[in-house]
Amino acid sequence: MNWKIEIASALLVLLSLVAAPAWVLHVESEAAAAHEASPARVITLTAVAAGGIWTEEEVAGHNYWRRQPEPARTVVLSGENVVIRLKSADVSHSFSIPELEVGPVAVEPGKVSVVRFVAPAPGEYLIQCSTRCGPCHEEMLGTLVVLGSGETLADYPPGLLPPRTKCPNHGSAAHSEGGDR
Amino acid sequence: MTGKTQNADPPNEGTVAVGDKGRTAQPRVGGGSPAWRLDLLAVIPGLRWLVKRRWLQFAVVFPNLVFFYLFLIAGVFGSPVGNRNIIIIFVWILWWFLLITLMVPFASRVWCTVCPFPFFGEWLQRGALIGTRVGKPGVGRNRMFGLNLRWPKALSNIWLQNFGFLGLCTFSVALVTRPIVSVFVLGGLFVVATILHLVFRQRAFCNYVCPVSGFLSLYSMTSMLEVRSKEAEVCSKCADKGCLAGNESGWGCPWFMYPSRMDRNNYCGLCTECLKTCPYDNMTLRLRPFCSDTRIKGYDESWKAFIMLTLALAYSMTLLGPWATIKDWANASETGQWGGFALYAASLWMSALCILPGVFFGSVWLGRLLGGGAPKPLKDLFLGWSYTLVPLGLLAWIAFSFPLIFVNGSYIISVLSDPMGRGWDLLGTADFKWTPYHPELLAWIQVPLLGIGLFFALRTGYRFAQSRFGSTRSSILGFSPLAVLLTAIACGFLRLFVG
Repeated sequence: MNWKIEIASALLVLLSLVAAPAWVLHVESEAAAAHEASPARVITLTAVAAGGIWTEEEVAGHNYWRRQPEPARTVVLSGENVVIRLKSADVSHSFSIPELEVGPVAVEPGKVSVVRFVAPAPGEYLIQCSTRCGPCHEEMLGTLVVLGSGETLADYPPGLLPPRTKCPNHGSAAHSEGGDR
Repeated sequence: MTGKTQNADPPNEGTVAVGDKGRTAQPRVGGGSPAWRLDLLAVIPGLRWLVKRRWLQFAVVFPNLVFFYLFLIAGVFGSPVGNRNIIIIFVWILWWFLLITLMVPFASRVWCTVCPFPFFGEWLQRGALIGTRVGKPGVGRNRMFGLNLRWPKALSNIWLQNFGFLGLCTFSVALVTRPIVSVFVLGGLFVVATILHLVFRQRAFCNYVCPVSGFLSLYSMTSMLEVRSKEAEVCSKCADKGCLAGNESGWGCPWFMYPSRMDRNNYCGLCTECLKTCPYDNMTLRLRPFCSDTRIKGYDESWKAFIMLTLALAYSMTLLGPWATIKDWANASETGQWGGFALYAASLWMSALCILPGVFFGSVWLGRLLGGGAPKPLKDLFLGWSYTLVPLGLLAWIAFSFPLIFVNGSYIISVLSDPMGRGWDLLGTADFKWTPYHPELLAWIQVPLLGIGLFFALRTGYRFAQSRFGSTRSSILGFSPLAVLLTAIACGFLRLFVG
């Protein structure tokens, strides 16, 4: 047995075990960096039809089926350049913030749609889905909280999200207790 | 049950040289002109050199292993949407299509040559990726690590594979649409393969456990490629028996076969070790006619044929058919219709294990009655004729698989650029839209395919009848009930495919 060849092949195998995920991380960071060229707050929101949620959490193969992510309550500062990267974890959605005239923007699985805007006056704004995406579509909500100078999230209790009735098993209790501010 | 540990049956087909370099002919079961064989090592320049390289298997498995690893990463961290994740598109559309339409009919178990499942297990077992070891402890003359236990004799058949495959296929809708389910199943098989290599000798996992291997073993009987010995006499006089026991040039057959006596493709994983170990260059790769191996040796193999045919029917209904209710039952993990799923699963198992075999047995029994003459053993007729389901089943699977690639093949182009469905665009094709390619042509492909399957089923069935009943009249009468059943099954598929 030629030990040099054996060791070289073994190193090749072990190297590939490290290189493959490293390559994935590299490509992913390159893709995200493409949206960070200008100084801006970059936020990634993922639409999940099952449960009707916009979420800031990472939704991937390993967690989509076993737990529900938290609905997004995205915080930015008034006057900030905002870039929102939009993904879908399942079906076709569309993203809109009607009060800010942002969207609707189509959000397709496997794609990243991008919306850019300047964060307006302080307040909380409802994020909606305007493509019927499933039985929980009507409750597919999230909010964008724009903080003014010196404000914190504590200044916006309990949030705009209405109680969830159609899909009560999804999302956190805190959000289901919410109402108009 | 079929004991496969060493193929002890004497070769029933002697090779006869008929002229041209590399061309030989073999007697055919049931008479008729000898079937041709083409020695590929003699006619393809460089092939002999290639198959004798020790690095060959590593060179073909390693890239596949890397892709498999990336697929698992994509399944875990990529999009949960099936058509946006490479593990679903490449495994269940591209790989499946290539496997069933090209690899199995034309290259036998070549998939086993490149399969990544046993990679780590075999590495640990051999303590080598490329080279060979000689010495003790081990198997034959080869030094091997691990416990090297013998696989239990009671399980030395493909029943485990039959039930495993049927079990997996019961949940196939989730398996072929949800990346994480594919990760658990494929990753699980990888882990099991590694463990079993450390406990049992050689490729016990591949031979007796791997659910893919089960149907490959059956359908490779039809394949146009075979590994065989050239001259039986050379093998009988060979004292080295390196193909069986291993030597400095290679490992003893990891599939528990005695290559020099091998007369069927079923349990040859085309690892090419016997081509390396033979001191007389007496093993070779040959091209041969479609459906050359026609002998089913045990009920485990017969039932594999029943299971595969039933699954082809069930998949055609659930994945291609218009019956929304059945689709919802099969897709219970999403629809929540678990009562319907129980009914679907029970029907599937009953059909595969009892109803189809029962109807088949009835046809065989009636055929024996109609054929007349001296009483024929029912077991012999049942096993012999059950081969007819092999070409019919394979061609039905091929016909079923064409819509997958014609209708959903365009996903391959987009996932090449965005394998994890995370918004990448590596090759600039991520925005390639889903485009069905000429679905109107599908019927023109599927109907002839089913026709070919039925033709080979009827031909081999009739030839077997001739070998058992003798006269033409008795053969026709004896085979007629089964011929009606086979034709009815083909018509059922036609109804499903073209309405």
